[in-house]
Amino acid sequence: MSDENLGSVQYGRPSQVPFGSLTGGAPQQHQVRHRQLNNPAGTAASAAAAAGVPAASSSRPRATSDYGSIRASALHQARLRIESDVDCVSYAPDVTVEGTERQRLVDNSGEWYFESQHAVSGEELLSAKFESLDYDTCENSLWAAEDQSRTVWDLRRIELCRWLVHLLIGVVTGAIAFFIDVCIEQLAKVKYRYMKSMLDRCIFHDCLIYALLLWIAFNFIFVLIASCLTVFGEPVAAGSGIPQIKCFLNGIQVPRVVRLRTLVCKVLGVLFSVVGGLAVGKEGPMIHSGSVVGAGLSQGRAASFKFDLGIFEYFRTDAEKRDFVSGGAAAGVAAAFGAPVGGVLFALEEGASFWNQGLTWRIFFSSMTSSFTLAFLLGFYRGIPNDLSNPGLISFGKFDKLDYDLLHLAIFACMGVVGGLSGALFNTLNEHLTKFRHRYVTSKLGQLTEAVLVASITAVTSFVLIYTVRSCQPLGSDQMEYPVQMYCPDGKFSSMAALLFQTPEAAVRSLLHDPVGTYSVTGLIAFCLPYLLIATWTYGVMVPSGLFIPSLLIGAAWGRGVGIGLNLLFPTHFTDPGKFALIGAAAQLGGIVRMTISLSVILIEATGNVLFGLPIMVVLMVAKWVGDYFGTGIYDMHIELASVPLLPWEPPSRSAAVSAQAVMSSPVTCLYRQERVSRIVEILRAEPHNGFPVVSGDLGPGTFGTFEGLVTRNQLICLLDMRLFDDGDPNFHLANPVSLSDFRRVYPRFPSVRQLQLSEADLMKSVDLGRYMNPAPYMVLHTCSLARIFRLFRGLGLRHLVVIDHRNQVVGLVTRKDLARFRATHTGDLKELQFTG
Amino acid sequence: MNYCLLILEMLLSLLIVGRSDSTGLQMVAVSAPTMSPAAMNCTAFQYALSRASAELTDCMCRAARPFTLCAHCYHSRAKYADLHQLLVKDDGKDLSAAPDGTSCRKYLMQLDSVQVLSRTRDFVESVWRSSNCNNCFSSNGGSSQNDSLPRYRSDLDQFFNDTTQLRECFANYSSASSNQSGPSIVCDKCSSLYSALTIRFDTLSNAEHTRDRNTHSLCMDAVDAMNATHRLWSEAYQCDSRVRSLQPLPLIIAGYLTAVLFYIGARGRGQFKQRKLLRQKRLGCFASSSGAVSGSASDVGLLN
Repeated sequence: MSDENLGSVQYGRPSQVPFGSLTGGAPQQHQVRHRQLNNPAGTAASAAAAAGVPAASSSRPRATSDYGSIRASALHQARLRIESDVDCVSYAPDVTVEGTERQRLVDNSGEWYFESQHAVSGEELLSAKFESLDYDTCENSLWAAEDQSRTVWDLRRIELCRWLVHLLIGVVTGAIAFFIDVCIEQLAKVKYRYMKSMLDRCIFHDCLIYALLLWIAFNFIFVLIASCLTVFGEPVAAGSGIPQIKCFLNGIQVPRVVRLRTLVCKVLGVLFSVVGGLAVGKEGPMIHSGSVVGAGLSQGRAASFKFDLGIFEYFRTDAEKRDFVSGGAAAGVAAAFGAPVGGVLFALEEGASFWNQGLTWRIFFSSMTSSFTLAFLLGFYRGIPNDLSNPGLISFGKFDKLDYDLLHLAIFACMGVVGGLSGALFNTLNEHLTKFRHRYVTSKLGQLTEAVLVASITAVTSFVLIYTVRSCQPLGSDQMEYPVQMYCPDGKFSSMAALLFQTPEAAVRSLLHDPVGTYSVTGLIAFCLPYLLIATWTYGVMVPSGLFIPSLLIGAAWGRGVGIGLNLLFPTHFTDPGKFALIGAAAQLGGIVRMTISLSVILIEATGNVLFGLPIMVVLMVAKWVGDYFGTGIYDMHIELASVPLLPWEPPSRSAAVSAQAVMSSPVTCLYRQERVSRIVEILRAEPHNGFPVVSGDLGPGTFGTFEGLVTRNQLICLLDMRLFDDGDPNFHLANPVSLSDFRRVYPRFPSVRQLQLSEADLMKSVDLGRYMNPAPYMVLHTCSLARIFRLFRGLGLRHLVVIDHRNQVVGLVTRKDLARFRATHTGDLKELQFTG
Repeated sequence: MNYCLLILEMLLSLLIVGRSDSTGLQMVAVSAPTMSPAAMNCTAFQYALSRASAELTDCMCRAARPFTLCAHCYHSRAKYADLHQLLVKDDGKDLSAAPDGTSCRKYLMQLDSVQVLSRTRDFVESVWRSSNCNNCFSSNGGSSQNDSLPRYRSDLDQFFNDTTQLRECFANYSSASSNQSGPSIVCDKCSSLYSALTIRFDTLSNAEHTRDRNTHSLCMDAVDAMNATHRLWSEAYQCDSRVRSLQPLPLIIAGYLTAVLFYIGARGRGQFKQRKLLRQKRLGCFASSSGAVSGSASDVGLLN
C-alpha cells in the first residue's frame, strides 16, 4: 500500500513551454529549472521519462496540452515494458544496479541531452513501501461527540494515565537495561575466564592455535545466535535502531519496528553480539528497545500475542503513540548511559520531529525513572543496595580531577578536528560497505555468513594484536579481572590483551581511568586503526549493534595516545592522559554521529563531571563542523541508503518557485459523500492509496469535484467491517450508534479489504461518508509554493494535503512522497528522486 | 599549651617527611608517663598516642621496600589503633579532662580545623587498607603480642615458606655456578619450585577474587613477594622461556582469506536487481480513468 496516488503519468518533461506556466516563473528560465529537476536522479529519470512517452502521447489531457513529450532514443523505446494493466504505474527500462551503459536522452530541440556513466542504483531511489503515520486528528462528528462527552474527570484520568504510562516505560526500560547489563557481564566473565586459562596454558604447551580456535568458536557461536535472531527472527532489529526510530518519529511507519517480537530479538541479539566480541555496544539497541516499550505499553496490549488489557484505549492513535515512543527513546538513552537529562536531549536532538513543552516533562519523567530504576537494580546486584549515589554506578567511571586551561582547550579543539576527519572517514567507509551489502549480500544465508565472519575476524585480529604488540605492565597496576600474560615476563601482563579481554564498554572505562603508563603510544595506535576498520565493518551486519561504544573506544584510544605523546614532549605538563582519552572519545563519536547537545550532556553525566563540560562541548561542535563538511552523520546516511522518504527540518533550497501543481499527485481518486459500497470496495482493492478526498458536484477540466472532506482507508475499512450501510436512511445512526473507540479497536493492524466478508446485498448498499470523514482537513491552493507546503506538512505532521483551486475544486493531493522526492543537491540545486516499489 | 603545639608540629613533620629520626619526639616519648589507660591524664595520653603513631609511621617506611608492611607493622598498628579507639570512645571515664576542663576527646579532636590526630589516623588507615593487610592474617591475628612478627594466615604462611625455599635455591645455585652457565643451572634446578610457587599464588589470588572483587584482594606482602620473585626469575636469572610460536599463523591467514573470498564470491554471485520505478501521477498524463472520480461517461471521456 502506498499513501498516495501514484500514476503512470510522466512527470512533466517540458520541452517547449513547460514549467513556466505552472510555477509562474519566467518562460525563458524553464530550461534551467528543468535540468535541475531532472538531472540528479541519474538516468532513472531519463529512462523513466522515456518510459512514459507512449502513454502520454496517446492520451494527452487537454488541461496540460502545453506539455511536450520527450523523444527518447530508439534503444530505450525498444526496452520499454509498459504494464498496461497496472494503472498509472509504469516500469522503467531494466535498470540494472551495476550497469555502466551510456544513456542518452535528447529533447525536441536537440539541445538538451543527458548522459550518465552509471545507471541508477537503489541508494538514489526512495522506497514506496514506507507509509506515513497519521499524526493529524480526524475531526469528524464522532470525534466531536467524544470530545463533548468527556467530563473533567475523564480528562484528568487520561492525563494521569499518560503520566502512569511514562512511569511504566521508565521502569520497564530500566529493567531491560539491567537484564542486558547483568547477562553481558556474566556471559563475558565465563568467556574470558576460559580464554585466559587457555591462553596461559598454551603459551607453555605450544597450543596457541587451539586458544585462537577457542576464541573464534566463542565469537562464532554467540554471534551466530545474535544473527539468527535478527535474520530469521526480525530483520528490522538489526543495527542500532536509532535510524528507524528517527524515521518513526518523523512520521514514517517503518514496518514492524515497534513490535514486541522486535524487542525480544533486539534485546537477546544485542546481548549475544556484545558477548560475541563484536565491536558493538548496547546503547543504540537500548534506545530502540525503549521505544518499543513505549509503543507497546501505551497500547495496553500485545497484538502479537492476542493479549489485550483493555486499558489505555484512548492512546491507540499514531499521534499519542509517537509521544510515548519519544519517551521510550529517552528512557533508553537514560538507561544505557545513566544519563537522564542526556536522554531527554537525545530525544529532542536526534529523535523527535514533533515536540512540545508538556511532552518534555513527561519524557523527562520516563528518562529519570529509567535511569534510577537501573541504578537501583544495579545497586542490589553489586551489593550496595539503596546506595544510589555510588560512583560505581556512573557508566564511564568518575573522574576525580579534570583540570584544563586555555592551552588545553586549543589542543582539544584540534582533537575535535581529528575526530571530525576520522568520523567522516568512518562514515564514508561504512557508506560504501553498506551499498555493497545492499547489492550483493542480500540472501539470508549470506547475511548470516557475513555476521559470523565478522565475529571470527574480530577474534583473529584481536589475537594478532595481542600476539604482536608487546606492551607489558606490572600486575596490580590495573584493576582488571583477567590479566593475560602472553609473551610478557612473569609478573607482568599484556596491556593490549587487557584492552581486548573485556567488553568494549569496559575497555572504554580502562582507557579513561587506567593509571599513567599503562599503555604505550605505539600500542594505542596499533589498537586504534584495526579497531576503526573493524567497527566500520561491523556496523551494518545483521546483528543488533550500537555504535556509541565502539566510537568512544576508538576515540579514547587515539585520545589517550595524544595525551601520552604530549606528556613525552613536555614531561612536566599533560600528566593525565585520561582526560585526553575522554576528549578523543567525544571527538570521535561526535564526528560519526554529529550530535552535539545531547552527546555533551550524556558524556558529562556518564563521567559525573560538570566542570569538564566546556571542553566536551567545544570538541563536539568542532567535530561536527568538520565532519559535516564531508557529509551527513551516520544515522542520516543510513536513512538515505534505506531509501526512506524522510522529511528534513527545512524545505529544500530554491524550492520557493516550485508550485503545488508541480508537486502534487493528480489525478486524484475521490469519493462522493453518499457512496456505494461496491465502489468503495472496488477502489480499495484497486488503489493502494490511503487518503481519499470526499467531493460533490461535477468534474471540471483537470479537477475532481468540489472539496468536502477527507476520508482515510482505515476509516473506510472500519465502516465496511462494521457494516454501517445506512443506504440514505437519516435515522440509521440513531439505531446503530458508533463511537471513535470502535475505530480504535483494530488499530494499528487494520484488516485488508480482501479480508472483509461482504455479501452481494451489502455491496448494493451505500454509506454516508459525511459523518466519518474529516470535514476540515488541511488544504492549500494550487498556487502555493513547495517551500510553504513543506513547512505545513513538516510542522503539523500531516499525511495528506489536498490541493484545491480557486473554485474549491480538488486538483491534486500532496503526500509525504511528493515532498520527500525533492532534495537539495550539494550545490544547492533542487533535484528530484524517483520512487521504487 | 605551647609545648603541646610543638609536639603536634613535630608529629606532623614526622608524618610528612616519613622519617623517625626526630630526637625531640623520642625524648618526649620516653618522658611520657606509662600509666594504665584507666583515668589516664589527657596530655599523657596525647604523648602516648603520638609515640604510637611515630612508631607506626617509622615501621611503615622501613617496611616499604621490600614490601613487608603488613607483617612488620602489625603490632605497632594494633597498638596505635587501640589508643585511638580509646580516644574516640572516650566518655570521661578512661581519660581525665583536659587542662581547660573540656573532655579529652573534644580537646584533642575538635578544637581546631586542621585536626592533626584525625588526619594521622586517616593516613595510616589508608596505607593499611591499600595494602590489603586485613587479608593477611587470620581473624584473631594469629599471634600474641610476644611474638616479634605475627603469623600469616596458614595458606599465606605456606606461600611464604615456599618463597623462602625458592630464594634459597636461587642463592645456592647462582653462587655455586660460574658466570656463563649460571642462569641455566638456576633455571633448571629451581623451575619446579618456581612453578609450584606460581600455581600456589594463582590459587590464592583466585580464591580472593571469587570472594568479592571489590572488597577482597590478596595481602600485599604476598603480592609483592611474588612480584619480586617473578622479577628475579625473568630478569635477573633470565629464566623466562616464552618463545614466540608461529603456530597460529596459518589459521590467521586462513581467517583473513575467508573474509576476502566471501566478498569476492558475493560480488561474483550478485545478481542484477531490476528495480521497478514507480512514477508519480502528475498533471500531464490522465491516461487512466481509474484514478478519477467515477462520473458520467462523458466525464471520463473528457479526461481521457
